[in-house]
This record gives sequence, structure tokens and C-alpha cells, in this order.
Amino acid sequence: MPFEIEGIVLGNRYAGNNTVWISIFAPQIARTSLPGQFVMVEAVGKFLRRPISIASVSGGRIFLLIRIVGDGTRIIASVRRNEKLKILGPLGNGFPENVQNPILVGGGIGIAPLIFASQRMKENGENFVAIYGERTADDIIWGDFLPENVQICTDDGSAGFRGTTVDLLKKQNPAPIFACGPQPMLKAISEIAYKWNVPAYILLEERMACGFGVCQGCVIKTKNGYRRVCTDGPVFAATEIYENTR
Amino acid sequence: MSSASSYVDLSISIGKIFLKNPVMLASGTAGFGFEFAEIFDISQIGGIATKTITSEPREGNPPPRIFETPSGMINSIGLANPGIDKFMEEIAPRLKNLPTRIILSVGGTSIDDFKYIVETVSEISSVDAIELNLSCPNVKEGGIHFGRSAETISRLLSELRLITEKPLWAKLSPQVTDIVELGTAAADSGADAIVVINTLPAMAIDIETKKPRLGAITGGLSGNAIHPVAVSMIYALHSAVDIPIIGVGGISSTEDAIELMLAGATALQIGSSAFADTNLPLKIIDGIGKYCRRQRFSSAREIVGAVEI
Repeated sequence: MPFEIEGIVLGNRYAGNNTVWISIFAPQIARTSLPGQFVMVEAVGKFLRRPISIASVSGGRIFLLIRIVGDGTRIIASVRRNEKLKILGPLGNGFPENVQNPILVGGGIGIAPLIFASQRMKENGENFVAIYGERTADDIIWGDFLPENVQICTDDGSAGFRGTTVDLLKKQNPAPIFACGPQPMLKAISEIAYKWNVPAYILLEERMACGFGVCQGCVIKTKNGYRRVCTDGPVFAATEIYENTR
Repeated sequence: MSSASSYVDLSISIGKIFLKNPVMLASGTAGFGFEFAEIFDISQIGGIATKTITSEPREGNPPPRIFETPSGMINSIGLANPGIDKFMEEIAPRLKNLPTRIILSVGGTSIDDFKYIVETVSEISSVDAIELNLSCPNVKEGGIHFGRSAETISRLLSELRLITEKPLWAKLSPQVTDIVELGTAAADSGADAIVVINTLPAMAIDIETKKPRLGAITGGLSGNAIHPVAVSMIYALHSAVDIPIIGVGGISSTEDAIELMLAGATALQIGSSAFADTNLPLKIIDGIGKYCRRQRFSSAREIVGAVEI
């Protein structure tokens, strides 16, 4: 059940590469959120809210990792302490909870929901591997915000492993995968999961109007026809999205 | 005598149905009401106009289906719906659990198609009125053609009037030469109310890729941008027809809602603006009460058509 709230912004810290870490007082949402779920966040002056993954929760706060990619995210990223934002959440289906020792793979800002996943798994004493990739060292989000022991990769090798998240994933021992990032990355990861014979759960992004299932504006084509990213996802089994996956 | 704290009667009647207040959710932006019912107490609002049901299931248009504009959005959902059979089996029985008025929106591709659907849904006791979607601009073979011809509207309404006891609300397209001619045709042929306006035809292009922003190329514009269009069309219809007008079009504040009522709307439907604040319907109900007190109206009905020319 989503909550419609006016959340008070408690903090806004720069996190590197046009990205901010915003904390919002939203106790009902913080209490009920699962990793992979998102909130619809007001971008003041814009007609529609923006879907943003929950990057962490603590006490009565939710944390959002927001990379400026357009006008909407620029507006949200410029909020200041004590300002209020209309927020609806938590929304969508999170990552499945019964998966043992997964590998978390975040490409670019797709790392956000996996930060929350790693936090939850750490709290529950579960093991996991975390992989985070960007193009160059300059693009990387500052370490304070990332999962502990995260393995970093960059396309040009300017930080961490030289190669893509997919290249780095191939070096791991086979395990179920949670992934979020650009579509080509998700597709390649799904193919690895197929070879490994493990499930992959991918978190998709789409422009949304409502975020809670009524408008049907955010559909994507799946093997089962059009599905809404907001309420049928945003986490999907890779097998539902891509051919030759399992 | 009125005072700042006095009771204001927000109830209104649309033909034979009674709404506790004039504020409803608009078709296509509220699903079948179940999602909103999880967010707020929908017994607080006047009613819900459902997603349009058609005789066949419709998958809808290819994505992208939405694009934000400077003061609204363009959509091309394409009447995605499960079709009448699945609706009757799976959704209709659950409508009785919704503690508000249910306005069931239906669409058809021919008069016979409309008759079949209207006859079928007339059996549902929890449906309080049937809204005829004459105007969805997304479907080439349907909606828009009905809504554009006064003669077709007359024929459709006359035939449907004979097969159902349910109130029939005719939702008109603004994409017409003379809205009054079409509204009059609906009123004279047995419609219980007119719902205006549906979205305006719209298109957006990505200048870098040179591709349309929507998978269906064009769509319907909603939101703040179309509100003044709704005001003018409701104003024009109010002096021409003697059945209630339901005002829709870019209502995103109490002021927007009151404007449509002053122009002649008896009731209101809130659409895509509720996406940015799902509490908007409740805020507007509260705002209408406050406006009445400020204006010393004892009833919301006094606002209807009260524009002073």
C-alpha cells in the first residue's frame, strides 16, 4: 500500500558525477520499503513526478541517489534541507527475498537500488557480491555511498577492473543475479544467467505518469504481452523480458 | 444565513444519481478505482469514471505511450483494456466493494458494438452510470468518428436509450467544429449528461533522432494546458443544453475546479493532474467547501453557471 506524503528533505549531499544523495523524512515509506521498490518524487514545476529507486532507508528516512539526466532530475537534485516534496511510495515489486547469495550488478546510476539491497542483506547477515561499473573513474559515485567491498569496473580501466560489469560478472562464481542499469547490460547479464543456469532479476526503468498502475503509460513488451513497469515490475525475471534466457 | 463555519451542502445530482460532492476521477486515469482505493478513502469523493471497456480485449498502443509537455502530458495508451468478457468475469463483481459512485466508461467501433456493450454492462448493479467514450482520439477505427458527427451521436444515443435504464453520459471530443451542435445532439437524443472535454490531439518530436516521442506517433494532450479550452467549451454548452455538464480538462487546483463550475459544470472529473498528487481530489473537495463559505453560497450547486458576464 503506497503512502502519499509531503516528505521533508533532511539533507542533500553531493555524491560525485552529477549525482546527489538526498535524505527525506518519510517514516511510513521507510518502514515498508523493500529493495527494488521506488517512489514517485515531485519535481517542482513539472507536470509529472519522477520514479526514483529507493537507495537506502534508515530510521524514518529514505535515501535517494539521483543523477542529473534532464530537467526533472535537475530540479529534484537541487532541493534543499527543510523543503517539502510530494512523494508517493513505496511502489512496485522489489527483488525477491528468498534468493541466496546473489551477485548485485549496478551499471551507472543503476547502482542505486542495489545499495539498498546490499544494506538489507548485510543487516540480515547474508552474503553477496556487489559489482558497480561506470565509463571512467570520474564517473564513479563516492565510496561513502556504495556497498561495502563493492568491486568497481570502468570501461577504460581508470579505476578498478578494466572492462564492463558484464566482463567482471563473468569472473565470478555462478550465483543468482540482481541487476539494474542500461538495457544492453541487462540483456548481456541475462545471457550469462542462462549459461550459468541461475535466475536473474532485472530492474527496468521507464518514463511514468502515475507510478501506481492506473495509466498504463509505462508498459514494456514482454513474452507475456505488454506489462506495466510500475506495478508488474520494476523488477522482472530476465526470462520474461529476453529470449534465450532462463 | 451563512457564516465562515456554516454547513455547505456539496452534494449534487446528475439526473437521477446523487453524488455526495461534485468531484470524480476521470476515465483512463483511475483504472477501475482499486488502486486509488489503496491510497485514500474513496468514499470521500463523488465517484470514479473507469477505464474504457471495449467489446474485444485491446493490448493498447506500442510504447512509448506518454510524454511530458511544459504544462501537461501527451498520452497514447490506445484504450488498453481486458475486453468486456474478462471485465464481466473478473472486474465487474469486485466493483461493489468500492464505496463510491461507479461511472463505467465504454467504447465501441459501431452502433451495434456500443449496443452490445451497453446492454451487457447494464446488468451490473454497482454501475451507477455509463459514460460513452465518443472521443478517444487514439483509436483510428473508433471514438473520434462518433464524436465528430451530430447525426451519429443522435442515432447512437437514441438507440442506446431504448436498451438501458442506466444513466447515459456522453463524453465529447473537443476536436470538433462546433461543440454546441454535438452537445445539443446528445441532449436531445436522451443523454443524461455531457462530459467535456476529452484530450486534444497532440504530437511531439525528438529533434535529435527526428522520431516522434510516442510509439503511436500522435496522442492526446491533457493537463493544465487544456484547462482554458474546457472552460470555454463548458461555457458555450451551458446556455445551449439543459442536461448537466460534467467538466473535465486540466483541473489541478481548487481554482481550476471552480472555474469549470462557474462556466457551467455541475460536476467535475480530475484526470492526469492527480498523478502528481493523489490527494488532489480531496484537496479540491475541501477547497470547494471553503470557496462556498467565502462566497456565502450554502450549496455547491450555486456555483454552477454563476459566471457573471
